[in-house]
Amino acid sequence: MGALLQPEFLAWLERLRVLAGRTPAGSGPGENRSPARGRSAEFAEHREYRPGDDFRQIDWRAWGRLDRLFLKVFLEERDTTISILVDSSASMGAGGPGAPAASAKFDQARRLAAALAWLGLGDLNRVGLGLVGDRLRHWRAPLRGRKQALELFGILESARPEGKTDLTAAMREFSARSKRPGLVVVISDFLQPDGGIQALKALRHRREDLLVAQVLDSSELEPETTGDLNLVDVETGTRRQVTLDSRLLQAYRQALQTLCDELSDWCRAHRCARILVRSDADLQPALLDLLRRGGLLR
Amino acid sequence: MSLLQPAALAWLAIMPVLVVLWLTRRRRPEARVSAGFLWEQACREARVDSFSRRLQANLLLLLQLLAALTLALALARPFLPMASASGTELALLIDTSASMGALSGGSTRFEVARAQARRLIQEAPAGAQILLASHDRTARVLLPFTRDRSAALRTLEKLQAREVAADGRAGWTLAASLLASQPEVQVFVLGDSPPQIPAGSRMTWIECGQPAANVGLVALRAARAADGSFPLLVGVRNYGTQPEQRDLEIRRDGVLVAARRIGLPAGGRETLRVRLPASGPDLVEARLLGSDALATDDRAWTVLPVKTTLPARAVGPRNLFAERALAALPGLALTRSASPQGASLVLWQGEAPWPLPPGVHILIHPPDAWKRGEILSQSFALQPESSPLLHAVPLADLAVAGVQPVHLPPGSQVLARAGDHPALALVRQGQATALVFTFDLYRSDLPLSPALPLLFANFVEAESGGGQGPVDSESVPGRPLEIRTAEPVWVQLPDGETIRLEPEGGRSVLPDPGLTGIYRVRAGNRVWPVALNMLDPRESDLASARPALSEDPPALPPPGSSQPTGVAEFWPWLAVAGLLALLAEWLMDQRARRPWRPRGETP
Repeated sequence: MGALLQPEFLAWLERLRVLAGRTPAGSGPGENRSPARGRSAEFAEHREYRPGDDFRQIDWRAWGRLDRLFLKVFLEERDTTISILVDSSASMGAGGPGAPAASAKFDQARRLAAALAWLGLGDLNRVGLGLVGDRLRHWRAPLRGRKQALELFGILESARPEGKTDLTAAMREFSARSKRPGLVVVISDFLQPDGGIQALKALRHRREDLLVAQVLDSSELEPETTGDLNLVDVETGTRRQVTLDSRLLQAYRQALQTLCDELSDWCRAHRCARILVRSDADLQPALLDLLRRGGLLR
Repeated sequence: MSLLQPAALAWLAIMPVLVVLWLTRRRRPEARVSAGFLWEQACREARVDSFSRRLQANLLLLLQLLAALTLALALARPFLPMASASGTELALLIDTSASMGALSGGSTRFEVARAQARRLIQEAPAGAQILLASHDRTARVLLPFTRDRSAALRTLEKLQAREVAADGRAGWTLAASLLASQPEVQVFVLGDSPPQIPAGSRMTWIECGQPAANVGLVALRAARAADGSFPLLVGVRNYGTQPEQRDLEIRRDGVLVAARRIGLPAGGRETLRVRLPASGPDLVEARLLGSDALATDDRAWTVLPVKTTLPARAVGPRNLFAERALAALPGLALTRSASPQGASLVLWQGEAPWPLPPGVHILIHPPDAWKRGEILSQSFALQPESSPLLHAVPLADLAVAGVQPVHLPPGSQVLARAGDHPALALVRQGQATALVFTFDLYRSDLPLSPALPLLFANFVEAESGGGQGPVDSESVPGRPLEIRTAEPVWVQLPDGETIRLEPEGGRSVLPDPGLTGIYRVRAGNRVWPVALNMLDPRESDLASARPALSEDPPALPPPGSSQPTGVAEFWPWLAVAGLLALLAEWLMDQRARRPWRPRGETP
């Protein structure tokens, strides 16, 4: 745990309270409000009595005043299933030309996933963790309780970025293995020709609530290296001899901008929170931004 | 366009080396990227595979090749021939010999040359270096290479034609030296004698003056007869194509003593004999009255010889021509004898012994020991060589026959040739000196012309010490005048100027007398007159084509251009272009190494 999250960061996380505002109900009681009506202490609404209703919920004061039978309906507090899907393809271990060999991008993604898992488990939610690439490489079914965090952290720490990316296939596999909709957090660089939109569509089709964290390296956003290079795609192994100059770099930046804009537009259209996390950025503002955009920060 | 240093094109071999180095340069470093498809898309957008982009990618190589090409070309020093003098170095070689004083139109040939030289100097390109030189008997650099045009013009204005016969070899040698030492020089020879310019040489001849008719003195010689009188020999020649009639005056120390009217056919020659009385001044002047193109050869001076007697013997079968010519020499007592004993000069008319006894000899027939083959029956035109013994001796147009082929002993000097055979030679053997004829005097024109007595006079004077006093009584302009005395000497020139000469090594030298006339040499209380005459047919003949500047020119350096005109070199521009290409290549390389700073926002 110490390798992923520093103690000071964990203390900061303790001060956050997270709830899933629009999330579907979980299977057991929890600390998050649920759209399902139940027996919590929080009043929701009155409704007219129908035969078969529980007499214990009849508001007798209202009957005395209105001479009609009304039931007091209370919100039921249930737990939320949070699925954190981390891209562990080889592209997460690389960057742009001139990037250092050890990728900070995957490390940032792991820290973000660990922080979300810690927050989710702290609110008695159920947190599942998946590693995705060209398929769902690893899936840990949702766990509950803080002490389960160590298992999730261990999965993250042992993960290595490798292999190709096929988020669509991975998400379909996740959908098949996930039992009920919940909050799905996808952490990836979304560097594939369709920008990962098809994968997000697959999740949205199951009415999942989505949080999208796009992690990119500075060398991808602002490549500075110029000159003659032999570019090697870390996933496909294809090579391309180029002479990097201002014109080519500008074209690359334009292509990346278009890819990111398409993802951002799709998320905005489908009311999904999406943030861009730089690999070298401070994680706290990025996490706060994600929670705030997702309406999860209390 | 031609190249001055074509060997420098070997530097072009560096171009394939550059290409090979470019192709085998350090492999491109690998860069692992997360999104190859984005870079592929960017390459399509930026059209990096287009021809212009590939050209741009190889721009460094192209700049290197351009730099190598231009610098190699610059080292090869290309140039463009120019129609006018536009070389960066101009050498103006101006003829100042006596013929340049001839009238040509309203001015002299020399003035025409001066005007042409002035034009060349004024039209020379900016920054051109100009050398001024003159040549006649000798060649002189008047102004070394300079960019100061005003100095060149001042020097040019001071230059004057001289009364000196030309020696073409002097000017030619200077021109050849300039061409060899200055690879960019363009030599302009301004004069009336065309140099033999090899094709492609950087030498240009600018002809100055037109052919003109001229009558001139060709000989003036005085001798002392036995009775003390002075038989005077005067030769006059008409070089023009029309008959001429001129009056000749003989003055003795300025006093007219004789006058003749001479009719000369076209190209004709006349020899006059005037006998001067024994008493009277010793300075004699012959003067042609009237005017013609060249005034220098219309006057001649001679100093009457003092009385000397030289015993001479004629040995062997009689040769009337030789005896009479020799007997006519003043101060020489010729007697016939079977033995040469007691004679200072021996005229061998028959078979001469070999080796000769000590003394001075004239051999009418060569010794048997020298003979090679049979006597030639055909006629030859005498071809005189350059020798002081032939001064004022008109041998050029004479024909000889009966030439005996000989093998001259070592140390001999051929004075004239008949075909390839020696016809007249000066032979020195031990203490004996001999003037040798190898042709038959009876079958030649020589006895019929004044050449024979003049030749004998020169020979006797040179070998028997005929001159009196510390200085020769006759000389020619341009030849250093040597005064053999240890005393300080004053020389009064014909124009009245007096020069003091300091003796050195028992003699004083007036290095370059340029005027004809009487030079008065004074040492202590004694005065010796010296007559300097320009009696050279090559200078006086203004009508016919001038002889070449040099009949035996030294080798010229290899030609630097295909036309004897000016050249415009442009290698500095090529060098600048090459250096600019190198600078651009360096700047682009440095720019490619510098990290690129984004200007726009990132996503």
